[in-house]
Amino acid sequence: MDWSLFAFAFDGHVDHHSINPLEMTNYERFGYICGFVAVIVAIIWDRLKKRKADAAPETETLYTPATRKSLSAEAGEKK
Amino acid sequence: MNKLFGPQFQHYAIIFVRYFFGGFNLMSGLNYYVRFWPWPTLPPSPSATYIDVTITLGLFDVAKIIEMIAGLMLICNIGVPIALILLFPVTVTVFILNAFHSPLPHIMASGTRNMIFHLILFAAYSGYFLPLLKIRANPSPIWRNFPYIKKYF
Repeated sequence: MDWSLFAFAFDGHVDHHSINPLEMTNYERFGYICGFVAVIVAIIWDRLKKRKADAAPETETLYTPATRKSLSAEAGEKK
Repeated sequence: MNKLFGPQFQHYAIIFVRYFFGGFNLMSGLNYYVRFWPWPTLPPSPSATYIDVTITLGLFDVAKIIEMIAGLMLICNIGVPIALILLFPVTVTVFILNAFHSPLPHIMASGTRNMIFHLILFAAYSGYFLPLLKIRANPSPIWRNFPYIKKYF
């Protein structure tokens, strides 16, 4: 079975021939890679989003209608 | 303990299971046509005989196409509930073949794990499936409610 790319053949068998319960098929290996990469990307994504949300309020409040109103009211008062 | 298995843990656990399951099925389906790896040759067993028959009947192609489409849907997070429904017959078949008719322990574990992951995803997206449990359901034909179908997308 030299043709197989399966690399976890501890007992010399590959893919569906192994008797080792801890061994994986190629599909399982790909699944685990997908899963772990997705979780890492999700953690990074969530942290970036949180950081953005933490930084945002100051700039956002400047442009809300309520602030504009109060700013214009303030300007009116000054006049 | 509560903090460990809190909403954040659940969020990432569901992502892991969805991507694992999607990747597994996408690759399993794609490999039938593209051949990234050689097909696994099964040891003589009832499941090997069953697979031979399904290949002859063309049912294996149907299963592989479903695996590819549903796997891609799970990875891209598009229509996850319908992808889970599409994939369920395949998961059940693989579970029965692997868990009860395979002589190899890691293949038994593989089929069982996939079944458990599928059930976890069903539970995670249960809000979409609970209406199906209605005992006395009145007909709600698609041809009468057609204009309202848009709200489900």
